[in-house]
Amino acid sequence: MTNRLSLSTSITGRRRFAVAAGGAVGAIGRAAVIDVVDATRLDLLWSTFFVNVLGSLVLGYVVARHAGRSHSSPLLIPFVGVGILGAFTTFSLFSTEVLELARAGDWLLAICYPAGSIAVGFLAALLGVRFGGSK
Amino acid sequence: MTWIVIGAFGALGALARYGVSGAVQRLWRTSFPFGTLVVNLTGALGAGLLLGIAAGRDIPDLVLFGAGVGFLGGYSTFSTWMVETVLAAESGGGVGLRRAAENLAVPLIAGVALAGLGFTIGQWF
Repeated sequence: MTNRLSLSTSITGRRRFAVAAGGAVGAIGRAAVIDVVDATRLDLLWSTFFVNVLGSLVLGYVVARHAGRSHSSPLLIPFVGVGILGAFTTFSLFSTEVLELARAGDWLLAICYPAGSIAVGFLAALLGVRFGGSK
Repeated sequence: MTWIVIGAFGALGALARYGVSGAVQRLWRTSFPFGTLVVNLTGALGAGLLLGIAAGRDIPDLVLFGAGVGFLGGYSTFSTWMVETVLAAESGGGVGLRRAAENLAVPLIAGVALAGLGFTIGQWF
């Protein structure tokens, strides 16, 4: 399954460059989402939720449509999938957010936030895979 | 300026993820996505550590954004985790569903635990 994500194929310089360039784009994109959510005075949990769900949807589509396909550029998955979408979404902040909710004693949100992120993120990825895999 | 720092550290984080994940996957040739697991768990530990170090201290925003949003954000990934879980679920039958459930529960529980560990260690500094 990871072969489809091209994570374990031989690493060439061009692939590395594509991953790095995509990583810069993805990280800046997430910072932009944080800025927008911050300006609307919504809780910043929503920016993490939004980037993670959107990123899962698009990555599902891109992997189903392009991974291991001869008609696709070999740099597309490293640039868009591993780089942009990998960096756009985040697990580290997600974990510390759950930790902070638990430390603050907000148990309802400490359970609902990760459960909701995973349920909606999984469905979004599934939708993307189905959509990308159909003709 | 903040954007350039976030972009540069995001690039480094993504490169580190590509390297670590690929190395782990080559070392551990199973269908379980250990590469993403190792990346995300070390990322959660790092984020907890950063938070612990920053607690009660005046750390410049640029450092927090560069290391947190840039490097750790670029390094860890939620989308790959979800897509790998979907692919596991679709790999067939009850085994696939069990693998998918494991791949959701293990990183979630271990991630929060490691973030807590990192936070505790970070406060010592």
